[in-house]
Amino acid sequence: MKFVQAEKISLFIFFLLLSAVPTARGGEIEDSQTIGLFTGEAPGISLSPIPRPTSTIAENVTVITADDIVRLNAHTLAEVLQTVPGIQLDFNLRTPSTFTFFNIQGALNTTVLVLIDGIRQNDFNQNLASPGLIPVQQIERIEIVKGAASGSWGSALGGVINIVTKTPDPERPVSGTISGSLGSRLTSDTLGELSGTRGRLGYYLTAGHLRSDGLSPNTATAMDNLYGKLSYALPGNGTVTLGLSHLDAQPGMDEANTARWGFVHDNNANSRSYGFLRLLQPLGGKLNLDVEGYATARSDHTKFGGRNDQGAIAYFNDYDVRDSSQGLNASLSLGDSRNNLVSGVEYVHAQGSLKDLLSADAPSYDRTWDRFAWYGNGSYSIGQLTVLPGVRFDSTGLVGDQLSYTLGLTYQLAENTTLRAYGAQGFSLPMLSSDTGVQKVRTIQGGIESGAVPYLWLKATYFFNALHHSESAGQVVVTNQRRQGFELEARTTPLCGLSLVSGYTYLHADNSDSGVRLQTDSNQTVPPHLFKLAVNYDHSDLGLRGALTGNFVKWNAASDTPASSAGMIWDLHLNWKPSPLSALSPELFGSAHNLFNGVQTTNTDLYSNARRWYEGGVRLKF
Amino acid sequence: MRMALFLILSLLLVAAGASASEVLVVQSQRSPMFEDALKGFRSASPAGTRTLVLSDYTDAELARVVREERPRLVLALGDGALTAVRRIRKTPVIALMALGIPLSPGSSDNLTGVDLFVRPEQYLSLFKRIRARRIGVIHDPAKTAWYLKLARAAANQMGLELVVREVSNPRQALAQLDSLKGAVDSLWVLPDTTAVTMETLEAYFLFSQSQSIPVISFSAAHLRLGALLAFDIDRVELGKQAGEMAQQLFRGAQPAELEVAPPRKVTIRCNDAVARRLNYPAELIASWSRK
Repeated sequence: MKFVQAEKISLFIFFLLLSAVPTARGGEIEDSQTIGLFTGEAPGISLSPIPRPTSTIAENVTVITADDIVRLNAHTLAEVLQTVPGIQLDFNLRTPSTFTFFNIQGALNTTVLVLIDGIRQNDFNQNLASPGLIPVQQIERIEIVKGAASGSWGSALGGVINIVTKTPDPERPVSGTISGSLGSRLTSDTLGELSGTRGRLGYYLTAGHLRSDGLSPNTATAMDNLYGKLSYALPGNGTVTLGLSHLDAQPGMDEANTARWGFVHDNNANSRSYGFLRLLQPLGGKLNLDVEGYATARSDHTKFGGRNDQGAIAYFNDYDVRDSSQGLNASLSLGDSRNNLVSGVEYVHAQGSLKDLLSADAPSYDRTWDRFAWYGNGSYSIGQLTVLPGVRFDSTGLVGDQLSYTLGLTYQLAENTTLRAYGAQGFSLPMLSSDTGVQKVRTIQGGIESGAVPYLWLKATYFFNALHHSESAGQVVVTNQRRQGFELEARTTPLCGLSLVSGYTYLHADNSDSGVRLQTDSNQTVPPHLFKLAVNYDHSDLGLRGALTGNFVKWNAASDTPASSAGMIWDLHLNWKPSPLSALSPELFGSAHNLFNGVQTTNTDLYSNARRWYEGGVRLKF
Repeated sequence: MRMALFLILSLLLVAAGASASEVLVVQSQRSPMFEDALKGFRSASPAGTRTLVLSDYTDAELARVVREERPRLVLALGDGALTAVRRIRKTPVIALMALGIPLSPGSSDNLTGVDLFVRPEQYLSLFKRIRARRIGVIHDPAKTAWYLKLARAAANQMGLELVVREVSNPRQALAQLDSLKGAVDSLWVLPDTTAVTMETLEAYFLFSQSQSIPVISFSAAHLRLGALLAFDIDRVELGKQAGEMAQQLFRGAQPAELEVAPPRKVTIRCNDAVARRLNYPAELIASWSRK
């Protein structure tokens, strides 16, 4: 109790300090200031949540930038996703890099396609991409599409997380960042970046090492990440880029508490590698060619075990999952941001296998297949109305041929207000391990986004998804489902450097055959209420920025499911550059996680939250 | 399926029919200030334009847009736009409505424009007419050292004294203002976003009131706050100036040959009530008011 009071007092002092900060600014010249000084009017709200004009996006999209990531002092994608409205981690943030499921508006991440540099990061075994195994240091932007996106992306019934990596610094021959942090249980994250352009050649290189003794049972971890990109500017404004990425992780190295039935290591050896060669070439007029060849390789070991009669550790299984792929994507785009057409083809040759190394049985599967796809989509604007059709044909090589299509409409009602509607049919591949047949979805979304209310940006989205043959995780169950609800988002314009960001998602999911409402259990996660809150602070003159983030979830758990959602989970992140005007000033940063020891997990037997923990560090850009 | 194919073919035909614009207008954000300037630009340059408003995007990928659209010229409206277009190295750029044009490093070969700084001589001649000799100026050398250099030279020639206080942070402005008490008989407010912010602006006019000294400023919006005189820049005319520059570039001039120009049409505005309070002769007030 004393701790809680102390934390509350600390928070109060923090806010007091923030409110006492002068509101003046300098440094870079900002247009809002210039306009304000010349016209005597206060600066207005800026609508910039998406990388394209808001008036030509029909889907419910959230964009996270590199600045947002730095403000959160995030280590991996998992910490970033937890702050996005509509997204909930099953095992709310334990040690960075450890495994978690997540869902987007009730769609499990086995149906969410995760791409980096256009390359699929989901495995083929369960179609999972573990967000804890995606470091964020090389990320420039994350675009999150909520809802079926198969018309553009193929197997993406629940949504897409498209990660765009940083490009070489075009201004300087050498620039970079070094950063190091240390926290509770010797949790440390060390990374370095080098970036620059010499003549036509640009480079971006990064390396990082994350380790921890484990902030919750069984989550000691070590993760090493290397990423490099070389780009060469061709005559005729073309660019060719070579990228290489390799990651090794050993989360769950320790052995502590066990579940009643035994224990599971978080995948205790993961390896991820990919490389790509990409050509972007204008072909004259508004025609552009984009060709990318790539190769990937993944392997995951997962051990299950328990204690034998003598109390010693004994393993039951050591699952070795491997997959690799070699592919080619090519697309032609024509037009500009308002009127355009994109058409492309994709080919991939893939291999996948699953073998229990502790069993004499044959592999559960060991197969190769080829997938081919063609897609076309575009946007056509007539005045304030934009029509966005899309169609895609997939020859999956696993579950036959699939046709997906989308039709989006946006209408710019006023300068700061856009109406949007979106309908789509999409699919997701089944898990290779279960092979239960293709999952399908029909989705409808509609909403409004507006900055018309002074000092506020508001967004409301209604969604309805009819799922056929939806495949659960855990013990695989196939059902037909309806998932519908709404999402409300609000953001205030900064006042004294402070701004509020919030998001609420309501979800009603039921079995469309029986009409029974679905509950969160070991097979699925369908939280009816999800609330995100963040207080962001930016004051460039003082070199201060920070965020206080809160997460609330109500699981609607089945009675036999040991889920817990006790209160909000609060995290505080602060960054301070003592000499903000100096180009070489170091930035000190620190985070206090789970301030009030909240618990949000779908399974308290297996995965408990990390209790309150702290970390601090310094980063230097040069 | 037929419907989808029909839609795609229709889009293809429409998209193929579109042609690239000669001028890509990169605008920091939506503002009537920028719209006025753009109106003037269009009236002076018949070239086709396409506008990209940066605040509509998280990342506008400007270099890619320029690569794809290949405009003959980029018009940057605002400092945000100016920062964004620095990555463009070959296409000529005209910057407008930005305070940072004279500071813009590295890309000067393809950059020119019209800035927002009225020539110092014009300000100083006003100070001379109101018989001010010691003129207080607060500025950030990182932003306006170039302008102060010109101002000092002009003041020397006109027999005026500039009492200069430097700031590197807006928080220092109030203390520096305080240090001018008794040391100046007038105040010159510059468009320097470190020295003057929305938060510190009022302090200049409170200082003027408490010290009973006149303020000459860069915006007519400051008259109602208590400025005696202000230069009002005609934004449409500013755009026309840029439009004429664009025409020169289209005719073969190189951006490096066209110097960054000050605004050519400015109007002096006067706050009669302040003038009366400071006891300026009625004829002098009338002469300003006529202008």
